[in-house]
Amino acid sequence: MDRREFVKAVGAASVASFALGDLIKLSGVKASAVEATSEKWDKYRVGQRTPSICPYCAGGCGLIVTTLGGELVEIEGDPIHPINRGALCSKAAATFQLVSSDRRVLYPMKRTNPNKGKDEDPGWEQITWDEAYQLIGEKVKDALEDYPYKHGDDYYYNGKDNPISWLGSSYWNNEECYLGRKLISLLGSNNVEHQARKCHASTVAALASTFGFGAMTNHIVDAKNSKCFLIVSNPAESHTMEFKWVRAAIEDGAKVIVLDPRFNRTGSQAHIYARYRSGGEAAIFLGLIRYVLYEHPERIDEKFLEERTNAPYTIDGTGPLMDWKTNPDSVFSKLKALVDDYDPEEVEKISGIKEADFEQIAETFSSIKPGNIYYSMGTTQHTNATQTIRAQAILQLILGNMGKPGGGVNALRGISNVQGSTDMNLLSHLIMGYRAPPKTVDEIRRYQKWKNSDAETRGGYSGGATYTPPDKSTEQYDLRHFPTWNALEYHWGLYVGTWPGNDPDNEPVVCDLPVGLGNPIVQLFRAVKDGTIKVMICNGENPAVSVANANLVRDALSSEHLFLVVDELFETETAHYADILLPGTTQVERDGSITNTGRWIQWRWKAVDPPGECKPELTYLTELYQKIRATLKSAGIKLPSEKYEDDNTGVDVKKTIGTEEIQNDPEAAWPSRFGDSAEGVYKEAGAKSIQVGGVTLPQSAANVIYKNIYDLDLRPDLDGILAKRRDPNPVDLEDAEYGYYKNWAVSWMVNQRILYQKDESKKGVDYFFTWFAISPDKWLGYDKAAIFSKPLQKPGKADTNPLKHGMPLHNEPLESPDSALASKYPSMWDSRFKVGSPDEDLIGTPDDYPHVLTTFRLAEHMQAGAMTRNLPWLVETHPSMFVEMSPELAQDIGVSAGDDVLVKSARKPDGIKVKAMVTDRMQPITVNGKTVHEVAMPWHWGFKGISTGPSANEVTIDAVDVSANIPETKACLVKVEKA
Amino acid sequence: MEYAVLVDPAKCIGCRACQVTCKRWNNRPGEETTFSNEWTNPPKLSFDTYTHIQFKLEHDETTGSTKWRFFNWRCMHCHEPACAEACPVSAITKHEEGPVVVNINRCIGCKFCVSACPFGIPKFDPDTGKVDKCHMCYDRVPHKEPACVQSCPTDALLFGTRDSIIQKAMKRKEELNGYVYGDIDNKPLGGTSFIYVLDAEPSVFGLPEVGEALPATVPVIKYSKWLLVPAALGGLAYLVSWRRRRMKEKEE
Amino acid sequence: MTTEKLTSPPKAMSRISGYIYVSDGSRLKGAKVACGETETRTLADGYFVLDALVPGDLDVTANLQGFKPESKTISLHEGEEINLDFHLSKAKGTAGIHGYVYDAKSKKTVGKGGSIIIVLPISNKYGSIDKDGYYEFTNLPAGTYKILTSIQGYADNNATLKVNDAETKEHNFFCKTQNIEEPPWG
Repeated sequence: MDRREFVKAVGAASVASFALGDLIKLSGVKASAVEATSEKWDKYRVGQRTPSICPYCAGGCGLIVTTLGGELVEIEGDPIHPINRGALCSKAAATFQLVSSDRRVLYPMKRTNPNKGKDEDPGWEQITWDEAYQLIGEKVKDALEDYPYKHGDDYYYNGKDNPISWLGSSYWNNEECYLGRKLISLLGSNNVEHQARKCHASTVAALASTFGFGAMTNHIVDAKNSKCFLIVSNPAESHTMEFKWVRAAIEDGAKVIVLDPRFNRTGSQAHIYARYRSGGEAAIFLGLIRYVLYEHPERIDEKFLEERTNAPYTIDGTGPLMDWKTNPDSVFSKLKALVDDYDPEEVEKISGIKEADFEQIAETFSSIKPGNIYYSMGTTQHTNATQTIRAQAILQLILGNMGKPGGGVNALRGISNVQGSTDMNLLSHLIMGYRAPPKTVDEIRRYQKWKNSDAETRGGYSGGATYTPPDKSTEQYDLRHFPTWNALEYHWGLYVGTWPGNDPDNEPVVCDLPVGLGNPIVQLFRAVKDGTIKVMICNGENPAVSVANANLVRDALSSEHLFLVVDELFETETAHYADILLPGTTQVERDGSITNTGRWIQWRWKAVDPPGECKPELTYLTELYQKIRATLKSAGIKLPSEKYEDDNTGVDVKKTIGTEEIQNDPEAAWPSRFGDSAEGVYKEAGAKSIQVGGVTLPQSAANVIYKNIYDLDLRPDLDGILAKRRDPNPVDLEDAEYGYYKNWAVSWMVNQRILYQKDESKKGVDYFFTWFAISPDKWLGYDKAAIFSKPLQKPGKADTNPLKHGMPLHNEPLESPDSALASKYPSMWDSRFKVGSPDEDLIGTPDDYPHVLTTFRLAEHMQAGAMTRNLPWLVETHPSMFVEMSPELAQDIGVSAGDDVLVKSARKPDGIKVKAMVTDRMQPITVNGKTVHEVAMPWHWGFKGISTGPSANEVTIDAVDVSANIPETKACLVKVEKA
Repeated sequence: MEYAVLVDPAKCIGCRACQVTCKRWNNRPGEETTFSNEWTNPPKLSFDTYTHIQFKLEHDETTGSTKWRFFNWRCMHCHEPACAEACPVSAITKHEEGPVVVNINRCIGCKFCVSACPFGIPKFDPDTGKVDKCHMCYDRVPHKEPACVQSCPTDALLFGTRDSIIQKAMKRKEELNGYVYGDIDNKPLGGTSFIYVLDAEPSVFGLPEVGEALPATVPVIKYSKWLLVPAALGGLAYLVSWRRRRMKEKEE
Repeated sequence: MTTEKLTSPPKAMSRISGYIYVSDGSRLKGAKVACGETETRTLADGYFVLDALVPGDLDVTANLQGFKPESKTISLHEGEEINLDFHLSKAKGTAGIHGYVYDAKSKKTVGKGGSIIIVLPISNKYGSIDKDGYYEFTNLPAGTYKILTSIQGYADNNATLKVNDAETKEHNFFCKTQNIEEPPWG
């Protein structure tokens, strides 16, 4: 080509490129998105849609899973769901990655490295499910070999000394939790615990003793009805969809007050934000009560107090006093006297909130109604948590913010089904529906008498009223628990009572339910270390990261003779110590119901098949039970009633209901009397009315709280499973205004959406029903909320102990930064159990550990990080562990943002090494006149996963609340140093 | 019919549902990130990260008050996209509903668009040799709103017809006593399909001042193709012909 | 996962592996298996591996508290892998522990019933406390035992006792009352 040709070529090329590129534009045809498509959209459009519920927080948001030919295409928010309306938080948005993750455990594995420890590789080797069951059965049998079934002449297993224990899970569906509680009970053990103990055990204790139910009083969507929020939690991050409705209220003019040691994402939305010292919560709420009672008594809802609380009575139950407002003997006056000390000056000394700021907060919250208190771990994880929550509840009672839309004491529960798992009582002190297991043989003898009596003429209070006289030895107490034992006898195929039953005082006791409360979580791990626990079956829980003072847990899990079985999605920190690791399924891979924090019981439908050999949990439980049962039986280990039959030839232990004889046959009753599916178990837990032998059972539902959630008459098209209802339309004008969504799923009890609201549902349980009696015949009756709580009164205690007064006071955390405050307000720490180590208390002093540590959650990570730290989409947002500190503290210790620092505590003197996050969102505060530095760590990290790091719980303190056994994870002393 | 998205940072709680949902819809991997003191992670948009939340903290020493803003950042889908103008192979098109979409198959990785965009949005990936950015879920729109918008818990992202969005923006501007960026107060590149309603000056959010007209650099970049591409082609043709001549010479 | 292959030192290493069973056929977890300096413990399925052994005539001993130890002698050659199973039977003994359980404050015996637990690796021994506050364990093999009390209304107490053959030791417990406040129900 010569130059002429070259130029021609260039010209032609430019024309060509011009034409190529701009022709489309010049043609005037605009690209249209209407026809534009992608591979994802093509599949999504034609895919099959299945509803489910999010596995993360307890918001209960709806998911829609789209599949095509069995392949997972998309998981998005359910557009018609009343709570989230198609939206999802970042964790829920990543559920797709959770289900499809290639890091999931796919088949059962056994450990081949006999040594256990953080740095010991388990040496996993694949095995079959049958091999796993075989091993588990053997180990359970070995542990139970010499376990006594007979004590004197009585046949029963002791629930506390039993060497078999069970952990988890709040991530499991209700039916699976139900069967888990049943399984461990059938093994004769009450050593069962799960996540609820660590997060809201104090809520249950406090709200149950004040109101009757220990749950969130209102519900998620109800937030839109509030006009003023007092938030002592971080809902924008931990319960994001809850915050959706707080924002709806803000649009409607609501004011938001946020109290938090950190300025967090919820703080960013506050009208009033105040920083306080973690551990000062009780003083703040007592100060608020004082503000109303003394400064603005016109804001007291006197009518409410008079009609619906025990304020006008004396603490002996005399009354109501006509002059209760002024009479010094009334509960009201006693409360007033008790809170007098907490003036704004004192509140500032204790909590660090400046007087002027505190007054602004008090003024705002008490003057705007309905006012709503949202709280969570900030209040629940303390040694005085039960008392603080009671203070919150009392404040709301005084302001008349209870039993109405937009009000309430709203405990934000953490994990998707922690409400359900708590209701199903995977706890050492309860057996089902918040009823206790038998504690002594005397109770069982009384139970037999109760069974022998005529239902019509029995006397006492119907409906299992939570009424209890202090000595807990009479009929009224029994009426609470006996109907549940009776229901479990029938449903679980057991015998509980004396045999043959005619002479309850003298016959041998034969009881198939474990007798005696088990070990709560902190004590449980000490029992593992002691050697009384030999087998731990841990499902969907990660105590190696999530229990305060995780060092002790890891030490216990490393015990040579602990046989640990873990059923999980990923290789978690706890799984690292397991002998057997079993592959669990995600929540979209199986059917079942779950209960959100607002007590809504919703159904999850199976959308995809689980991968590999992952087994749906219901099937796992059935196969596990059958295998263990067969192994035990062939070794002669059976139910106490069966042993009684073996020891007494010719005796056939059975119960007679009406005209029918029910054998003690747990195998026939497994998994439920209604069939093998999740629906079957659901029906058993929540049946409305069951007839046996021509007689209606006194309590038909195995779980009294869940009664009537199975109603064949109401929805025969859904086979009576009310949780499956998906009608998002309000039922009437009131429903439309307040957002009850009464036809969406079902809530407890009896579909009451706002607890304690009169007349909301004509059939609902709309009254307060706390126990209040000081003598066996002094029952105040229904609907008296307890400002003074008799069960929480122990007159022998010191003056500084709220238990002396039966009403809250402020108490310092066990590790307090100010020794003057610590002696003026001594900690309520239950010294029964050593803190830090089994042999000696590891308690730090401000001299050695001057900084206050609080722990917190991030929106993008969940709890112990077992799920979220294995998902790249979430790890991308927060890739590493850190400690938040103020620029002042950073300067003091010579640290810049991103430097490595050591966070040390008395439990971990060498400290953990984490990155310093230096931010103005943290500031020093003044406590009792002195500057105190607060630092904060997220607790999601551990040594497994894509993102690893030290666990905050290696540093925290395991001192427990005396009324609830919940550890004080939110406040301890540390020392932060440059690494 | 034109559609738009209203971005309302005052309602944003920074939960990053949008960031994660976008990855899910577009099947993009999570990036390997490192500790970020400011929380923004990944620190910049990329081929795999179409959108992220920028965390902006303000603290007043004297009053002690703190403000934490969460700013959703991504392509604003301009009316007259500089990137589309600059692209020599017209791999970027503005759909009439609003989305400005990169056709990855056509992209030749020349990065003209990267230079042209006044917001610095299109991102190049050295592994695939392509550029990509938020495409306003052109595959969903208008039957379904963009994935990020559906996921937002607090309505900080709203989807609708452009008219309705503008109306909402005006109302909200009044409530906030603020500023609309993308239309009304400021129309970068002729106006954008992602419209921000702000409670403070755009500079507080890091939004640049961009005029209505295309930046002057864009035609330069664009028309450089007239020289570069043909020059390359021409050069190639010359080489081919030169070689042929040489071969011929050799034969002779 | 793959087990690491050890680099061979001058003399070729050999290995012994096998299972430890209990007389009823179940497999024993946590039993110690020792050969000279090399020691290991059995896994949950009773399996053990003794690696990197110097060949020769070797004594291998398996034992676990509560079981009669068993020793076997085998000849192991260079690079050889030998399978060696053990069948352990429960140990019987002639020692005993007994005593009374008292209320620490009132000094009266605790007659309400409860249990004393001797901690053993696989299956604990459980003794009851009779109405006179008396407990007793017999036929114990000689050894050191950790004993715990578990009585309703009292804090758990513990002691560590060493007994020799044919020895009967008395140990009395003084237990502090503990009113465990039950958490109120929900």
